Amino acid sequence: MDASQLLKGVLDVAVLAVLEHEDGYGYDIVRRLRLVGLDEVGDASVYGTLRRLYKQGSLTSYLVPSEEGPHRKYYAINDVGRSQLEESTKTWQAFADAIDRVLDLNREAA
Amino acid sequence: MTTTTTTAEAEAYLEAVRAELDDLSGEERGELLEDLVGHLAEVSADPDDSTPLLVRLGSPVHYAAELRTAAGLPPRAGRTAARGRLQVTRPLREWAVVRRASEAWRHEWTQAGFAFARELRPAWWVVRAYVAVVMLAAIGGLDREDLPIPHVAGSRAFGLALMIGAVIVSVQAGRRASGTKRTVAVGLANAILGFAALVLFLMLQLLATSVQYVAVPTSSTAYALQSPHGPVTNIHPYARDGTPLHGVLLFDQDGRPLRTAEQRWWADGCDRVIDHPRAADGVPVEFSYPHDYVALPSTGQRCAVSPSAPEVPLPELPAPSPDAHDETPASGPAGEDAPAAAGD
Repeated sequence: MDASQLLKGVLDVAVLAVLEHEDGYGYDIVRRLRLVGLDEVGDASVYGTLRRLYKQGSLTSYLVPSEEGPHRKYYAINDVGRSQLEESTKTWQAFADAIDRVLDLNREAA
Repeated sequence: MTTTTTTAEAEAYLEAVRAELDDLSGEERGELLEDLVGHLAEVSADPDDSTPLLVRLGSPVHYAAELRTAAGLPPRAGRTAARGRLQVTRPLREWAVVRRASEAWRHEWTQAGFAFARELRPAWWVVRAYVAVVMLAAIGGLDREDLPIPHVAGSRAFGLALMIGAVIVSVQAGRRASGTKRTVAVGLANAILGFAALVLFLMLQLLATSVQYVAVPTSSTAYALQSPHGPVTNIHPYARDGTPLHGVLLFDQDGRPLRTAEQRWWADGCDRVIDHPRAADGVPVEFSYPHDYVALPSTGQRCAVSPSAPEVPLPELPAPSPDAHDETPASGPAGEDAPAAAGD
């Protein structure tokens, strides 16, 4: 199974979760996702997801002035985003459990 | 600090991505690119990451595509599965009419139609070869003899050989061109031949339906009778009571024999000449009507049917009065004695 394919389905959840923990800007969010172990995530996917979530109304954004370079655009999760995260977490959990069970059945049978 | 990218490289990358997003609205594109600018800056400033830009981000095309998908935007127009390649510049594309035309172009029915037409290409290859040879033959003038194989340089055999050669060349060219981009020259040649084919087709229709008259006065005529519809090639006399007459000799007001033109072309393709009755001295009488057009012996089967007299709208005329002028046949120099019209 290709991890990147799996990731596409849950990137929204991952991004929301990261932001739930702490506000962040694009590059930072990519870094945090990679730190957790999601090496497959593409930069473009993260930026695109952030834009989409923002347009959906799940995130807010604000600019933070920076001395070294351009202003950084920070994203923050809002209530809409939080409820979406909660919903998606439940869905993910149920899904992951079901897959685990199926895999367990196989293991037990073997 | 390890710099993994130069500004020039970053600029180039940015430009390439911008190009891939040029079908989006200015605002949308600006937002996405703004993120990328920031990202490129961060990437170059990162001490931990020394991967080259293209390795880290992938190709600009790929980056742009991934970005669009994640952002919930449709893939770039023109890279869709549809075979339609109607790409139009941005402002024009906004126009509803153009958009609808573009959609119609990409519609599966239109594409199915094109796919079908593509299957007919071999037939077109043969047709265009034929048309090309006909066009060549047309230089020397075309007539009925040129169907179906035209005479080229006077010879039908040569025309046939040329035709075969042209078909082979055309089909080979067609086969080689399949799948590759056609050159402008080929496209132009096709267009010209297509137009010529259409013209030829129309001409054939006309040829089939019209009866050609060619006025070829015989050497003994000073003039030929003309009607507003063209040369007169025969006269059909009828008596008052509707009986068709034969062997009628006609003269004009000055006593000159009335002559018609001789019909050369017939709708049934037959070749005919007038069989003039001969006078006692053997001289053919060319002003005896109606003309009897008979088939030339060489024509054979085609001319089984002799041309029939046309249907004519005969008026109902009252029976003549018992005064019998009209019954007196004119014979020889009867002109002098022709009685003046009797008063009634």
